[in-house]
Amino acid sequence: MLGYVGRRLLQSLGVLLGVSVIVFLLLHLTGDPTRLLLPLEAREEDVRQLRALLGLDDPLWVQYVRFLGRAIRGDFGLSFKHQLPALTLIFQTLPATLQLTAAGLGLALVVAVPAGILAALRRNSMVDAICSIGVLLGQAMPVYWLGLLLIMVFAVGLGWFPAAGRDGIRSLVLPAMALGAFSMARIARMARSGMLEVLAQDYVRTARAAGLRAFVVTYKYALKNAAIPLVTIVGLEFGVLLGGAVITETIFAWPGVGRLAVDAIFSRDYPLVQAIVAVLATVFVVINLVVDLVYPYLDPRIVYVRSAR
Amino acid sequence: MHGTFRLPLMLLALFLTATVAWAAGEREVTIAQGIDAEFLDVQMTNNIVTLIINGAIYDTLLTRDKQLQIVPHLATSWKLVGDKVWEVKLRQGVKFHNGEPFDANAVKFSAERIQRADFKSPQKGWFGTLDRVEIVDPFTVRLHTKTPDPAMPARMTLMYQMAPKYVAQVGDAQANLKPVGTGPFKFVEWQKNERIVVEANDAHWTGKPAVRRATWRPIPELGARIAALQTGQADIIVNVPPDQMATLQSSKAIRIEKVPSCRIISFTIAQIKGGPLADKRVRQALNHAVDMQAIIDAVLMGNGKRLNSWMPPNVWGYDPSIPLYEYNPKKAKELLAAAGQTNLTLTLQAPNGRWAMDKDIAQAVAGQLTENGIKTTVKVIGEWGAYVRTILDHKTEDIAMSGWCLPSLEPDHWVTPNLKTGEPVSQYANAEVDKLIEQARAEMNADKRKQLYGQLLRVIHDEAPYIFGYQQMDIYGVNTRLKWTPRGDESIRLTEISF
Repeated sequence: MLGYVGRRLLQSLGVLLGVSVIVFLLLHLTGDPTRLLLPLEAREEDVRQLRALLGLDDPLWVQYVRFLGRAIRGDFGLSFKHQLPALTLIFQTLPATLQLTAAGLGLALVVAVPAGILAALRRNSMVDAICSIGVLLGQAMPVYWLGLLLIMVFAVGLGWFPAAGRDGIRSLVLPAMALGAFSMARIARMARSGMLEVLAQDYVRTARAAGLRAFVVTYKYALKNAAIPLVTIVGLEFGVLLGGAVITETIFAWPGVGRLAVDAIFSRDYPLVQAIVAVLATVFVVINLVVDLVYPYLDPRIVYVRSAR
Repeated sequence: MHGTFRLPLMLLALFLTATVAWAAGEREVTIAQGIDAEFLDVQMTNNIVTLIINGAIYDTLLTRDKQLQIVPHLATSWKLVGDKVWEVKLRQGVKFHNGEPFDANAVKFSAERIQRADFKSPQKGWFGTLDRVEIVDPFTVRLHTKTPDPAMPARMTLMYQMAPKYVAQVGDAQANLKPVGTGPFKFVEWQKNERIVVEANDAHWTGKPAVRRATWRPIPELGARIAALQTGQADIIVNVPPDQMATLQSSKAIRIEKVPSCRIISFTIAQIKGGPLADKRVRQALNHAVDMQAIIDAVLMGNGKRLNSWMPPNVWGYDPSIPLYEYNPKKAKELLAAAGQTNLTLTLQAPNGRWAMDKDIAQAVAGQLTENGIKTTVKVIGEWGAYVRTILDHKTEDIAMSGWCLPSLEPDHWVTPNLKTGEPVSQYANAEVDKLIEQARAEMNADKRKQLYGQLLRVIHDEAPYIFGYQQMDIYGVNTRLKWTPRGDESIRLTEISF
């Protein structure tokens, strides 16, 4: 097990290194940030001075090695635009994003898992049809459109929740709904198909034949096994939502890392973009690792052993 | 007995607390803009939204009144004492929020801080002509310029005053996070991308502000910004698109405020690319081939004022006697025929979402040009960074939609960057224009200077380096409980708000 974890950690480092190279190159392809940091009418000498101050005159590989050397020590440099350490800015905004993502995912799970199970148990019934329509809508509606619709109905029309900003738990509801909708649909679909598959298994039939109550069969035998693929989906979904938060945060003026990222990309704030990608990639990698490590506890058939050689 | 009174007492206390909180809320204001402040160290920014917010915390030496005329502020008077020396008397008894006195030393410190090589201020260019600050006495300074600079008073409206001891004590980074100025409001809190809160500085030299507390909220999405106004979450919102005005006005709690802006929108013709666009007659023909008034009426619902040249009416130097280009397709065709360009095909580039209805206006302009025989296609470059790069690299399409407003409101800052040969933004080269620009920006006699600008703007009108567009109308949504009218310099001053 420990060997497996070690190997996975090494792989993760490789992934992060790859991500950092790609982001670094892509960013530098998008053009010179000094022109965006200075007024349009700035003179060439001011531009040159700023380029030198920001260290942008060095060859690209020198800049990358410098970036990597610092990043390993946890120093992603000063944000060009904000003149604050990039990590400080991220840690200021990350809690808001994690809160939104967790709320979105939580909401998705609370609605989607029971809905999926119900749809599977009452296959081809009205309940199933309603769930299917819900899934279709959830996956087809663009977050952007859904977000504005939620604002119009629940903030402007009914006045139940604030339209924008982050002021306590009430302001979390609408963005979480907008963010969670897509995942809700996907999780419900997975729960339904997983459940259907398990319900058709021999051991379920045997359990029923043995005269166990339907409730016990469903929740103790079937759901436990149907939950395994769900864990993978939830893990991946958390990562997807972290990325998806970019749009939701912009619509609802949610002060998270997604908005910080959009802003940083548009202003070619290299250090900040690199730091955000590194932090988000790390979160993603860690979640994947945790999901993989949870498997053996859910499914005793899965055992991590040293490779045969 | 004891227990009997406890509940009513608690309810009463709750009621009183609620009443007090409500009363306090009545004199609070929330303003929603598209973006957050970049810095609260005012010398680190040239961004207009950021300057507006900082304007509550910091004072400048001079300022602009509601008519945009230059008036005293922390400086009580200013005069030329030599061709290159301005003497400035300072207001006495003014204190920074930390108790530090404002004096000549602060002026010198603030001016020199911007020019420090290791200080990444984008304001360096604003004060490029300033040579040094001489302290005459604690409340008199002399600003020595490298060349005669008639724009110095306009520059002084942007000389924000920093507290020297405070900055030295806490450092540049901390001065940005916990700003200290002499302004009418004191800093309370800054939650990045969430809110900036300031509270009234009752010791301010202009007296107690009517607004007791103000919050600036960045709400980038227009729909959410409008919803925030409708739900009472915001009291003032900026950049209301003309097509939303009717919806907002249908609510009793909301009114619309409009003001002609310092921002002008036109279509830069890339003369320096050569080819047909180097011919003045072709550029004039383009102006005659577009019915700009019809576009303003249809797309902007009349919210714009046509331009006769490259300067808005609220900038000193504007000349109202210059005529507008007449919409005359026949004349356009004649001019094109005379230039031998009867089969012209052009591309017009436009941003998307930078200025009110920008893409739609560009499409309307291209449509009219095409209708009048000049086949024009629109290329939308949605990302602003990419758009800017085409301009600075001098690689724009044949025509590029352009917008301009600088907080100095100084005429030279309209013409030099945009029209002088070789300037980063300029897509135009003309020795006559260059000469007039240089004369006007060095002329110390105001009357003569104004004449020179009139002459310059007339040449620009005739030379037509733009399809002249319009002066933008700034449109705000305002909660009716506020007494406030907007200013033409895009600034929102909390001291101009009452209830």
